[in-house]
Amino acid sequence: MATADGASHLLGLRSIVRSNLEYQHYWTDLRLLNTFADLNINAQGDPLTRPMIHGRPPDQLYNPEPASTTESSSQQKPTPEMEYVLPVHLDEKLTLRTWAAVFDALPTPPGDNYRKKRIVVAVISGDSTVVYYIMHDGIVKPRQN
Amino acid sequence: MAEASGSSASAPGNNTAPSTPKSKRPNYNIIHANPLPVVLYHAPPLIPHNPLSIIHHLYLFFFPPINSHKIIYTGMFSPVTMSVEVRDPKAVLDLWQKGFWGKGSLSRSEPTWLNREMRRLGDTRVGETSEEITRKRRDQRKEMKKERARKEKEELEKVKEAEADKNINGAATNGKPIVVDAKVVVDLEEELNGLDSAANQPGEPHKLSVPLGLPTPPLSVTDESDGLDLEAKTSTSKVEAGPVSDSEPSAPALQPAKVVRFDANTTSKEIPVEKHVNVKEQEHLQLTLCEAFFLTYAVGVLEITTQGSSEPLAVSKLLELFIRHSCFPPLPESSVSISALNPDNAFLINYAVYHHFRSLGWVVKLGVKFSVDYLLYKRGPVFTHAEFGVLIIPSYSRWGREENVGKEWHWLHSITRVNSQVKKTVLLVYVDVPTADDVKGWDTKHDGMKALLAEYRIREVALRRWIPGRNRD
Repeated sequence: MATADGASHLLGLRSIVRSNLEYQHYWTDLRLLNTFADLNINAQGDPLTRPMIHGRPPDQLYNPEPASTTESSSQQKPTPEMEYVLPVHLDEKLTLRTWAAVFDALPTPPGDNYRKKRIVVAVISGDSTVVYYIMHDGIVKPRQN
Repeated sequence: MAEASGSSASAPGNNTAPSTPKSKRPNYNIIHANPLPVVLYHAPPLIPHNPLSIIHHLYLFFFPPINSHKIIYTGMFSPVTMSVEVRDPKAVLDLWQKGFWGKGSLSRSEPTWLNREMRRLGDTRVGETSEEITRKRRDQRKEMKKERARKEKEELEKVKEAEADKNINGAATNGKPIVVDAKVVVDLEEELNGLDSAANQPGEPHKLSVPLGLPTPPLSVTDESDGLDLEAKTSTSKVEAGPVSDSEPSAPALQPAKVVRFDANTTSKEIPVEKHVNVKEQEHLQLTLCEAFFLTYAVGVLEITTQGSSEPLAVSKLLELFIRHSCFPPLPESSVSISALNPDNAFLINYAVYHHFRSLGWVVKLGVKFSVDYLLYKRGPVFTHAEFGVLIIPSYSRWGREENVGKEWHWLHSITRVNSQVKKTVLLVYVDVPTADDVKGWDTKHDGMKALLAEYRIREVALRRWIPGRNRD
């Protein structure tokens, strides 16, 4: 879909987001995703529509039902879930087709089947600000408070 | 630090101990005294009948004090970030302090990453950064929300219990009707207290131990990104007016502001042991294309190089490079012609607006977090919150095109909603874009850049949501 030149700029975007996640937001277990084989061992090694990042945030990003407050305060926090991050540029024109292709490539989340696929969209602007949005592949239960 | 006793917590990096949190703040009026990174000198007023004054002025004329050290900073254009990066620490500090140019690539605005990292690893030499202060505030708010959720849940159980009681006894134990309003915490608390004192059930004894003056987020400081939590505001006023039934000796703890200050002190309590850590700098000062161009072309204090060459670029080369990199993906090389310039390009339109407001003395920053193109700060971000959010709208009246923004009402409405939440006024800035014929031959003229920019005309329209019920006077 993307030309070789465009792809190199997408890789540039990803390097910005990667360093931002690592150094500004202290994400861990960061892994770069380039091909379908990076998402699923059994898949073919075709390149992904867009290069992405897989990583673990320091705190759980989105949880419609926060752990019941009575017990959580003193006890150890559960490990935050791994997230998929999609770097995009502010001046880009993104289409529904792009989003669909990104979501189609992702594996279905484990557990209950009403959990939707989720990505973190990292929007880069010219002054190095990265604005993060959480995007679900469908309607999800809203967060409390 | 030595006099710090058990009770008083002195902040690290601030050795004039017992200090109020206010004095921790550096004096920004001194740090940011210069609005531009140029050295200015003031000649005393000329008094014609005083020979000394004339001699002084002649001296200044022949030996101007700035000639000896004209400052030139160097930045490098990066095709990856599509911006200009400054890495020399001296230049970074200067550009930030004198006019708030650029942004730390790993910080919110001022480049503080190194300091934050050193503090995180326990270095005792550096002071608190603004990011940490915000983080604390957010953590407090998170705690408050958690507490609120817990209270709501308890209240719900309470009501259920009471209803069950009613069903058993047949008659109401207390005449007060039970109102559940999930939104107002304090109402819940009052209700809770009322219920407790009236019924005095042995159910959950730990409930009363929760202090009435629940720490609400500090209201004096408005969080830029979140705006004023109106809910919290109403609840505070009620806390103060509310019944203080179980007031312990710690009465001042009921004032929310003081509770917050106390929290801030306890968290910054540290054992004053010198610790030094070495961290490799990962951050650079990132200048947007407009900032870089303004510093090079209009102020003349920045030289911009490209990767693999130390030769600074000329203004026309710079213009071509920036026009190519003002969209994503960037335009291929030699696709932009300087002599046959198309004035309808994102860089020139944005730059015209940037130049306009910078020249009027505003500090202009990108406003992506508030869904606008630019934010306008009076004096600078450390002094005040941004007053205006700028939306750039190109206008093609000279192109013979119909004036059509191509956006729907809800687009504008959502932007004004976001910005009125954070008390900003939205400015619609119309840029009248010249046609290619209007600017033809600009590059052959003397000071052609000026002539080119003069062709862009700028009109501002301030927009504000008006609520008839609220703004009667």
